[in-house]
Amino acid sequence: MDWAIRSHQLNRRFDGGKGVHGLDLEVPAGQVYGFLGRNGAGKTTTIRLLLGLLRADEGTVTLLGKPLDWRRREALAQVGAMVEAPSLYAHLSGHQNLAIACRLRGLPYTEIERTLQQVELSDDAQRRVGTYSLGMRQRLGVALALLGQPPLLILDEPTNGLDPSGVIAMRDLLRRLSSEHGFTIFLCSHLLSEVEQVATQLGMLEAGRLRFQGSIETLRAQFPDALRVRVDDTVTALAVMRGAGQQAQLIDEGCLEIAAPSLPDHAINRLLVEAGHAVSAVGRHRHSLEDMFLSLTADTQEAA
Amino acid sequence: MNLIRATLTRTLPAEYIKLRHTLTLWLALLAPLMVVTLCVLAIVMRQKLPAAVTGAASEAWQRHLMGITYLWTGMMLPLMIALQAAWLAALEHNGAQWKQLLAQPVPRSAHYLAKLLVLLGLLLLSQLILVLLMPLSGWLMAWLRPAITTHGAPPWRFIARIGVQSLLACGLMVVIQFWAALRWRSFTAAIGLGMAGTVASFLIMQSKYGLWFPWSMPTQVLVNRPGIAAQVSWLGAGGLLVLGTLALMQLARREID
Repeated sequence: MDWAIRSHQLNRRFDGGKGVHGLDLEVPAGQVYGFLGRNGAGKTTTIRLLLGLLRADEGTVTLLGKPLDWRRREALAQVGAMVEAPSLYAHLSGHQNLAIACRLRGLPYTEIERTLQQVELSDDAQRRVGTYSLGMRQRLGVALALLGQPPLLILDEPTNGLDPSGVIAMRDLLRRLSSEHGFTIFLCSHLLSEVEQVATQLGMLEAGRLRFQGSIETLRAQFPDALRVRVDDTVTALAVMRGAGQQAQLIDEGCLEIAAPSLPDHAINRLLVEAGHAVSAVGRHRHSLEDMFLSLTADTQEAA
Repeated sequence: MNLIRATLTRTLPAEYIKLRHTLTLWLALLAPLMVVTLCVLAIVMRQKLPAAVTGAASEAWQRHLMGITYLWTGMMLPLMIALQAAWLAALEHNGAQWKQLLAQPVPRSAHYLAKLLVLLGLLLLSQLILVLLMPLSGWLMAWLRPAITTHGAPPWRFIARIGVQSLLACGLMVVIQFWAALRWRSFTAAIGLGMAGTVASFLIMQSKYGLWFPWSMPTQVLVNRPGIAAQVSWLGAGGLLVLGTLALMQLARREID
């Protein structure tokens, strides 16, 4: 498999034990990789290590086959990045901000118009960035990353500050960049629902360690759909289910959830009906990314 | 891509764009104009003109040009360098630009070298304007108050010497201010250092340590002892090269948090 990003045993410690520890990132080329974690989990530290802004205590980083340590410029030439809030010169126009990046990357100015169109900022290109809204700044930050169409985009919270329509537009843009242009997108966010809608690969970081890495399908296989049953008397129904060897739990008054049921849905229904229960609904419940994330990081939360 | 090529083709043109809509160029133009204007007014506004400017033409020119040089090298130049360095650094500190800049495929030190070259360029521009205004202001005084004898040819060699030597002598101060402005995010720290250095130079410049104190070195070009002006010029230029290289190396190794 072609890897866009690979890190091997990447370590960086800060005072108080924070940082990232033994990170083995594997981001397949051409995919949208959602990098998830709570605030303070080490997401931004990881991005800084991937871009060479911080030095690793141990470990290596390779970007599209180029080792960051000794082929830094070649590695970074293939990367467009936005780290945290977009870095912009407020006294200059959007066009001039992009012109600076063009100069630094050795790109022709024709790139500016193309990129401005991609993020729908062409009409405001000559305005001072100081007068831009938060959403416009965010889009200009993404435009800076898109200049020169680098095959790898590293975006840290790109939907921060966007209104709902801006979030949708950004999501569409990321999807398009990946599906139509074959970009690899390393998308770092704490908004799990956002990532769920665009990512094909996931990495879950907690307290500086990767808790999961792989495709969404692999993750879903670890969390099979649960069965939810609406029933008149949940207390006795719970006993019936447990008696039948099912992992049942009470969700709310009148609703049971059976995690990974070992019996077909109709068999569970029959068991409850034969025990004299009135079953009003039986349905599959798909775990959200949030559920799965919380489950994978439960031990750290408890320790905290 | 080597450092010089990256600086000339990438980071320096980028720095030029960043300077638009800033006050740096205005400061470079107005600072020497202000010094010369003050010196002219200080003489022509007097009811009784000092004998030094009404006697022999050579003595009048000397008095006028030394007055300008003293005010320029002793006060305006150090303060201007501190302010220009702080402004250039603030362009990156304010918008947290470093993380964007240093993730670009150019040598890290090329960003810092371009900034140092811009600072030196602004300084050179100010110095050229000052040198140009020196004879013009003398002729203006003679025209406004015909009793003043700064007419005819000014001492060109003196003007050229002062222009070149005071520029070289401020090299050490430039590199210290440059490093401090980039090393610390605080605008106040860089300006504070410049102000402290300028004030201290008034106390130190007359002493034997004036030769070695970076903020008073440019003023030493006026000392009327053989070899002193050349010595501070070499010290300043050498300091700029050596400490400038070390500063670039240190800054380029810095981590961005």
